[in-house]
Amino acid sequence: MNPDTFVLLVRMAFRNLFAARLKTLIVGSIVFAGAFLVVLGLSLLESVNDGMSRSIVDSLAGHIQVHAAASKDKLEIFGGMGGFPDLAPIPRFPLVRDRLLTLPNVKAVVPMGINGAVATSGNVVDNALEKLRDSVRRAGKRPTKALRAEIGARKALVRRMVELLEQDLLSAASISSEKAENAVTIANVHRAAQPAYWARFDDDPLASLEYLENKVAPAAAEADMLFVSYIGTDLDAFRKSFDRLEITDGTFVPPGKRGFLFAKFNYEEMFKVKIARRLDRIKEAKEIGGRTIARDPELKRWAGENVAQTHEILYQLDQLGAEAVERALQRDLKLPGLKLDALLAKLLDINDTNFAERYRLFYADVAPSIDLYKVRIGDDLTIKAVTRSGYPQSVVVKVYGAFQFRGLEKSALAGSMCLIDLVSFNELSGFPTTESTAEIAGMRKAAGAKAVSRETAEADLFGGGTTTVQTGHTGDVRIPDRLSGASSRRAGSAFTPADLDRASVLNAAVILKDPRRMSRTMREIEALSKKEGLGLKVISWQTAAGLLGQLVLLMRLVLFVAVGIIFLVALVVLSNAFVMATLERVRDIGTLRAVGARRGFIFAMIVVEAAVVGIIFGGAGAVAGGAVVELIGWIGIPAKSDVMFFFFSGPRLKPFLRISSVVIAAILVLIVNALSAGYPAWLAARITPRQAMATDE
Amino acid sequence: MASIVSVRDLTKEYRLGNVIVPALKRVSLDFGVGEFLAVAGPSGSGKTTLLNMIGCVDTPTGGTVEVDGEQTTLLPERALTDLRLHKIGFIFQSFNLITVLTVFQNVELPLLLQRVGPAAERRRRVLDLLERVGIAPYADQRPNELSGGQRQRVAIARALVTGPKLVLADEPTANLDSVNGQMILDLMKHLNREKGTTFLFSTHDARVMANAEAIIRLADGAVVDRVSPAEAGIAPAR
Repeated sequence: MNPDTFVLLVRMAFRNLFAARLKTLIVGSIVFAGAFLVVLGLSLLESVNDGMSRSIVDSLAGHIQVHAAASKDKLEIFGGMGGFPDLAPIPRFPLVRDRLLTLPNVKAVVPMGINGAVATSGNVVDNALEKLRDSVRRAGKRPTKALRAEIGARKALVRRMVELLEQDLLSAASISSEKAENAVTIANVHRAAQPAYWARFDDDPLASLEYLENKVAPAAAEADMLFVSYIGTDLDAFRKSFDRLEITDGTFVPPGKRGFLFAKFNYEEMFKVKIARRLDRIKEAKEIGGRTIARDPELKRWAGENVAQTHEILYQLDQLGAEAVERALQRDLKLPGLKLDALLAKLLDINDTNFAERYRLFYADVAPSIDLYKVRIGDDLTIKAVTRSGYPQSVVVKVYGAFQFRGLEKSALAGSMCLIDLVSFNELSGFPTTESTAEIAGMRKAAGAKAVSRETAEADLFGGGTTTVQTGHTGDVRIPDRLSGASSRRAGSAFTPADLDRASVLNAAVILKDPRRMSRTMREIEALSKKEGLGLKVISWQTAAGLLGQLVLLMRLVLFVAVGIIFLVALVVLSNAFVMATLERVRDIGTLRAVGARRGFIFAMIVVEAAVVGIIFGGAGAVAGGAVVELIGWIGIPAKSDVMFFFFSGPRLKPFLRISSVVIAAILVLIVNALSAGYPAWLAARITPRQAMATDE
Repeated sequence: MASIVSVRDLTKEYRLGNVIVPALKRVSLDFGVGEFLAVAGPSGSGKTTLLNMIGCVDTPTGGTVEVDGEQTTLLPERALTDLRLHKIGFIFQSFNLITVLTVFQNVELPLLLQRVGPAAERRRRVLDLLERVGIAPYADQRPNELSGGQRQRVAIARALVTGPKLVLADEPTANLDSVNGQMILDLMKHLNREKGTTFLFSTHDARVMANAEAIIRLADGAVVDRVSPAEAGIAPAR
């Protein structure tokens, strides 16, 4: 087309649009809204996608996950609907790791295994009894005055606990249906709560202690059994590869040591004294969420629960501690005559005005005298898991510390998985470890057991052939290490690199140098696995994140559907508007045809008009959308819930404008305009010059 | 005198439902270059249909039309468009100016379609013609700011700007008062003489016919005769 003709067309388009100002404005605002929403929506979505991918990739998944292709289940890092996935160990993991590291884009390969189990640290009654027993043992036949006082204080604590336990049990029994079962327990506890029992305690302190340990303490045990999800991994490799990891309490597990690290969020949520945790959460809700106790039913409920559950603190205080707290609270609350339980209830009776002061008092007066966490850093943690073959297994590991991922401090998801060394993980899962293999071999030797293979079973069992003595590897026959069932083992506290290399690995995170080349690297790993028979299944972090990974896909789908609807409406309205405009100009168009304009010229005229609308209003919409994105990016959208922390990968989402969003918006506007102008333009091109004379004759 | 239009046995039928309405019945005509002719007849006599056939904006049912040596009945749509663009100028009863364009742009439009360049050349030709039809002062105004007579002058300028051999005007004065109508006819006559452009205009107004060199009288879709105004009993204008 001649540039002058084009200029004429554009000029005519502008004039026609101006002549029909109102219609142009309506049509234009639809195009404007479409472009605006596409730019804004895509930018926000991409930012959330970005944040979430960083959350997932940086916390647990890495960019790519590999696991044994022979596995029954799909790998879901955060646990799927059906619990933890049942994965077969990756065969020859050290080789797999070394081979993967030969690929140019692979930075690190971190071995992993995911599982969950019940963890206990011995309950508070157990702990108190242990201290009492210790005092009694040290006192011996001739206790010193100081020891006698210590025994007295510790006895008083246990006695108080038993009394409180009885109250708890009675109130629990009143709402429970399992009467018969509870009756025995209540009777046992009741006996220990009687003054008569304590009067005779010193007659045979050891027997009395045994009764308390066996008949009373278990009644308090259930509350302290907590479920933990954990990832068994090469801790050092994990720390190096997931560099957002930071230790918040204690220390990292020293190299070559067995150990357990709590996820900070999980530790706070599950293991902190509930009263303290609720206070923390109320504080957070008030400060970050801007919620108030007066208005928010959840905060109100938490405050109420705190007042009702002061036992939790009373349990922990021996006589000396109780006196100290009582004195402090009497002084600070200015209520001299009040007893400890009433003081605690008073302290915890909070409202929006006194909260800050009460929070401070709790941590100043009460917290120092109690254990704030059910498991302290440095304690041994007993983890009871069911192995893959179905028998219960328990392992005792030291808790070295707690960790969190920078920027994901508030996220329950990123803070859900604790870390445990791979060797202990193997034991919990029932994979043979160097230690257990040695132990089994020892037992086998002691019992005179022989390995019997299927092929030679008859000969081996009934004589006739030579006797095969198994050496070196474990066969099909597995002997549970203790026939009584659960075995609690104080595992060795260290392991060698060889132990680590021998450990079974269920899945492995592959960290990339350049994440943008992820799909290519995935293909390379697949090709390598196929070529060398590594038997790997390769999945992206999106797939590994399971439902969570699909979430962005879902959001994108919702956005596209919404945009689709907007543009469909726009398409119909625009098309209709252009058809109307065409019909109103039949005479003009016919005249143009009569004086020699070709059909193409007429077609172009309508299309240029649509394009002008698209460019001006679509462009304005895109600019406005971009401006809003930049504005939001400047202010940031605060994360108001733990899930949002995960999505935003930090406390604030700071979306930024992407060229891709603008390009997509431009393409969509152009497509919609082309489609909506297409039919009217075609219609216009078919107007005959004779229609220009329609008014004649 | 060379022939510019040659019509042979031209037939046009319109279909109205199941009824076929004949608009032209085997019309044969020849016009010479430079003629100034009127097609006259009552309403429904086929004047407009005849002009449409000659102007290549409608296709005949039968017969042939030759314009400047081209058999238009054999040409494809696109060639007909180009024929209109290069050889024929149109003047309409309702002026048919493009309302969103200025007077200048309306007149320039056919030149743009013809890809006449550069802009200065187009400008010269447009202004020259506007001067000649007497509306140069209004070049930058929109058609709706002008009177009927002025608008028709713009239309004449647009029809003539490409220098066509044939100008077809369908009732060019029907929407004008008699003074303005006469001025338009005078202008057309002037241009006819000056440039030798063939003019063919339809009318049913005797005063308009009086301006023609010859009158082709139609009735019921057939040519009755070709006469001079005097023969038709009309006093020649001025």
